Amino acid sequence: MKNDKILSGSTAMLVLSLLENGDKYGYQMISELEIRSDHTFTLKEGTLYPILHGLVKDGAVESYEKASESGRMRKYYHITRKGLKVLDEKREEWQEFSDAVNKVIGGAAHALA
Amino acid sequence: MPLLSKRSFLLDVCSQVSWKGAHKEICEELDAHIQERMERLERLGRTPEEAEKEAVTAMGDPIQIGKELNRYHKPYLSWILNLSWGVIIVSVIYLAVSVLWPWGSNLFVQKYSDQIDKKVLWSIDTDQKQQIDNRVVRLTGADFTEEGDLYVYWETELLEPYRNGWSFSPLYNTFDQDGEKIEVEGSSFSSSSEQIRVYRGLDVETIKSMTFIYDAYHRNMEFVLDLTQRREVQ
Repeated sequence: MKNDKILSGSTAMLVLSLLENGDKYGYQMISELEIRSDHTFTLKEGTLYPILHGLVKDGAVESYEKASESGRMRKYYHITRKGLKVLDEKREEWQEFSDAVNKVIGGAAHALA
Repeated sequence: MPLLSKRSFLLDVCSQVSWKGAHKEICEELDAHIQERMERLERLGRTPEEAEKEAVTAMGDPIQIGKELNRYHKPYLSWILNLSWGVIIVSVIYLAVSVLWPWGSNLFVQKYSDQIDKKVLWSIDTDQKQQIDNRVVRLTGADFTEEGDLYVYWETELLEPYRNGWSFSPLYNTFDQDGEKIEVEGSSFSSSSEQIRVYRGLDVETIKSMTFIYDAYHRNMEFVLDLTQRREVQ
């Protein structure tokens, strides 16, 4: 139940996609999310961590510690095979959903399709 | 209004996480995040105080975050760990008492000889002790009862019992003063260190002494009980 909840969340999907192109630590993910979403997602920064820890528990993500250049220990997250599979499924679902919404609201690209 | 300090934020988060084993890891991670945000804000010109307030505010509600984190840091593992420690400790104590110290169980068990309800007519006081290897056998005395039963008291002790393992059933043969084997109805009781042999219907008027051959793996210990050395009991 819990597992479904965390994996079905759209924020979890965003987090997984952030990890798709490389291992990252929490702060780095927040910065990247801000840039990528063009400041649309103003996620309260601390709420990222319950999502990450939930994903770790589900086996979608793994964590490990690594020191930065300045010697600070950072906890990095790495997407697992399972995480990639979940992300693919979510993308498909999202695509279907947005296609359907676009049809209804009359998105130009979909009118042609 | 919550205090907007990093310290109180971290404390509030952890206050919601019931498994203390996860506190350190969670605090370090969140601390690193706030620290990094503060450094960035300070580079942008905020004072350290402003930076801390702003960084902590950006984190969100610590109680809510703590509650969420608590869901993923359930203390199942620590319970199992605590449970198994309990089991290990109890087992070690049990083994220590029962294996290393079998005669120690007398501390918990009342002596058989005190429990048996009998009317003693006379007793024989003796204390004979013999040892083969690490096995010590003591003949501590005898009681003759109104019913005509002779109770003979033995104690056995294993020195360094962990080398021999568990206790054993002692084997006795009993002979009278002429070397005739005494075969009468009887019974015996024993605890880990104390044995009582009961001889029923023994003819104490013709038998002057009893010789007990204690067989410890075919090496004998011999004890002699002189039935004429009676101490009358009122």
